[in-house]
Amino acid sequence: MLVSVQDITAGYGSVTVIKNISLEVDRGEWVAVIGGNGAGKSTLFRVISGLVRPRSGKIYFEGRELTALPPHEIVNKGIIQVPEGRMLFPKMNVIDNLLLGGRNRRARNNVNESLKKVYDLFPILEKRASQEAGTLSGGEQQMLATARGLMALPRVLLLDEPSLGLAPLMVREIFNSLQILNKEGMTILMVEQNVVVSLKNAERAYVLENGEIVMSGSSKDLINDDRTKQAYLGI
Amino acid sequence: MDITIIAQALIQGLMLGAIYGLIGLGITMVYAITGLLNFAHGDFMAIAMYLCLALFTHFNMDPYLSSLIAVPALFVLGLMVYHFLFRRVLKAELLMVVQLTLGMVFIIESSLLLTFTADYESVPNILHAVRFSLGPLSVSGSYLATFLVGGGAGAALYWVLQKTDLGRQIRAISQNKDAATLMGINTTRIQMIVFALAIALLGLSGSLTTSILTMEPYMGLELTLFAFIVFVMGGVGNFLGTLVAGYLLGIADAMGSLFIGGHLGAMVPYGLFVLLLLFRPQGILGAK
Amino acid sequence: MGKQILFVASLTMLLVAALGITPVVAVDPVKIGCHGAFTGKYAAYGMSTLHAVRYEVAKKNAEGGIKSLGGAKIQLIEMDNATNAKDSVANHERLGTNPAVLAVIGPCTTPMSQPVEPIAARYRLPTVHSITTLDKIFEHGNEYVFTVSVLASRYGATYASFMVAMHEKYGLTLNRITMAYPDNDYGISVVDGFKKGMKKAGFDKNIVLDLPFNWKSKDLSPIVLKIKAAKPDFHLQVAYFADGKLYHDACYNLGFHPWQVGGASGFNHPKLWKTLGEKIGGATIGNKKTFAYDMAAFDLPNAGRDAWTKGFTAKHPDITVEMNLLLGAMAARFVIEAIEKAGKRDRTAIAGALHSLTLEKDDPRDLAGTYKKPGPVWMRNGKPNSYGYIAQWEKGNGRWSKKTLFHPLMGMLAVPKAFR
Repeated sequence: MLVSVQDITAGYGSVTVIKNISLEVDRGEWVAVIGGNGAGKSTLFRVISGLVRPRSGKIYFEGRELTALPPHEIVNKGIIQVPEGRMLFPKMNVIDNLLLGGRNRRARNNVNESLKKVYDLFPILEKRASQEAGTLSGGEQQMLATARGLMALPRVLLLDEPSLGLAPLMVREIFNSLQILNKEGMTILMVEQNVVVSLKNAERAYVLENGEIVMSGSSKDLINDDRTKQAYLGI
Repeated sequence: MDITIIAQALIQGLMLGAIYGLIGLGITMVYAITGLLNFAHGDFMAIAMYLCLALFTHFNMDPYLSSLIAVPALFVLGLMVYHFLFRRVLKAELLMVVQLTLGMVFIIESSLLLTFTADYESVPNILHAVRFSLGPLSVSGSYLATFLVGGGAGAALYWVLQKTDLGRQIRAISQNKDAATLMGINTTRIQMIVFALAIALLGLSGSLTTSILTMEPYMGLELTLFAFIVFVMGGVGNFLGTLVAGYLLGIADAMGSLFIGGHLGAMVPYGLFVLLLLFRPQGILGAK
Repeated sequence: MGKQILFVASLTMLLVAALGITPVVAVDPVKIGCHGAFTGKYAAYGMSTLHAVRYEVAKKNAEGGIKSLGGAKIQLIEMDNATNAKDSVANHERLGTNPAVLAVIGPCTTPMSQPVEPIAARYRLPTVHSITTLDKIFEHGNEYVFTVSVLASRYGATYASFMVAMHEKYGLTLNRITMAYPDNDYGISVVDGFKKGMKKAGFDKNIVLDLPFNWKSKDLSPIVLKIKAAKPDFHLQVAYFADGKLYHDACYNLGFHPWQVGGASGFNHPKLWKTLGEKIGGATIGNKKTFAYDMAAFDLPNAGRDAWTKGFTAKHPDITVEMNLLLGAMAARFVIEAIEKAGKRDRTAIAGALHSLTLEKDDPRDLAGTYKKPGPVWMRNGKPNSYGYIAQWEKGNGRWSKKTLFHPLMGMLAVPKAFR
């Protein structure tokens, strides 16, 4: 297993947001965590990235424990999060945003090649290179956020709501790019509210409800599962 | 009034303004990166000035030379203050930060008082008695040096911020700390370095101004007040704005005492500050 | 019964002898308060006063205490106000409400003295300040406040009579007189005294520039520019230390060196030399056209001061005798003398005795050497009848020192540098 999350409980102050969550991601896999608003998806990602310390439980990456590491060390290991709401640096231009993405220890010597690669993947970003990130359109911002994540040479890419607030056309474009990446061997762990898109793209998925995993399985199985159909697909 | 008098006062104002800007830069740096205000800011400058005084008294060392000691010393002091004190209140309530830094004010001022007594002090430097003239206008060497080094430090800082990886990291943290962390930036380390750099900058300002400002143990809080004004006037967290605000304040100071004089004249810079808050609350170069 | 009395009596005698107590009726000590800034910003002034007061009290006690009160010893109650006006008020309040306290020395400096004036009146507590110069404190008809320091208005009077003397004796023109001063109580009092003095001499119409400035200013260049533009024949600069330093810097920078007299600390403080540096100091305060106000004249003979210095230095070899110490000693001496003179433990009587103190010609009690003699120590309302000196910095044997030139009551005492 590349990533193994074991029995994680976490929250803020006196509020517990996620309870006893365990999940696994294998090398080259694309795994989705689906669930509604407030299910605890983003908290799970913040715990994996080290921004939030779990109350209990452990996370392993390639068999080594991550839980006690500071966030920047987790990034240095290649666990790269593309956060919800994109969290770009709005007053910096596109190129500075990308350079920041590629400044971790593993990626820093590879910046020029990475840059070429993300420009190939998202040609519009090259055109916007000297524009401030805050002035880009929503879709372009999501592309930049993803590209910034890719600059970090992720060994596992954590995508938090990549489709949020995007037009269907743009969603398709983004996911096409992600498909290409995954085919090239990129491991992706993604949280999404958009169940249809998630199950169409990911191989496996976990269903998160009120901070707990209530279901898991291959996307094919889940898409045919009556409970999923009723609860999430509205069929 | 004679035009040369006004021009001369303008020059003096610019020179003084460079000092204000230099002091304000540190506040801006610390705020940009931690979102916190350090009320003991000016007192660190006082520490630097007294360090120069001690070096001058015991080793007859010129304050400009002392800056080679004061700047690294203050940098280390800044690292220590950040690590042992400031770091602990980063996530605390604002009032805690105010209390901590005000507490530092009292400790620093009392320590300076005990060590150096309350006497007014000032240390001349090698340029203090040198005058540069341009026609009827003249400027003292130590003022000019402060002006140039202050401007230079401002420009260097601007360059570091815009063009270097460290600067990019600093800007990233100031724009979105969590996102910066997700880029693999060691935010704690950068915050510590920037805090220490801000204190080191005061080491520089202190060494440059020992001959211009008269030091006394309680000078710190007044300097902090000026730094805050410059910081807000420049557009909270705006580096270039801070420098510009410094010059404006210096010129307002000079023009106030030239044209109005007395207490009323001394209020001109503050009046300017209030007017600016009323009509341009985002500061000179601040964004809305 | 008789046997018992004898037994008790002899036992008592034995006990007393064993404890070494002489069976004389003990006289209650006389309590004097001494409070001031012993810590904080003005600690240097406060401690000077305290050292001198302690010395005088110990001396008096060693000589047998207050004779008119049966040899009562003086007990000093020391209180620190930490250079804080609030604490100063609280201290005075506490001393005032303690009926055993007959008089108070201090608080020494003006900011601490001003707020205690009404308290002194309320408790009828004789209060003798040592280094307090503000006229205002002594203008409310309060019979209980005194100072031994020269008043601010007398600084001004001294400047005026010096300028006039320079005009009369050395022919300096006084057609254009300028003055700049801190726009606070002190600065205004000094300038009031100056203007009165100039009016008396008929020169008040020649004052062409009346320039108050903010004494907390960080740069006095605009002020100096204005003075320079007024083209003064003679300039008066009222200056504390910090603004004085800024003034000299600006004068040097702008190449402005008029005939001028100024003070106090901004012109006479020995530390100015270190602060300005030899080059600027030499061109400004050391200039032959620059004169400095000075409260003391250590270069003039004064038998009283020399004797006191000898006695004090024998006890405290580590403390340098300077003006503030002398003023503290004078305050203590006058208080002790007044209690002796009053002969009773009564505050009003002591205040009356203070008012009636006089100085003889060549009186050794005038340690500062500034008083009008013979004459009363205080004119009225506790204002001392004293003036300061005008001096000039001179270089001799590679060192700068002050030479006393002038005193309003004694006239020119030496020839200024420029006319030698």
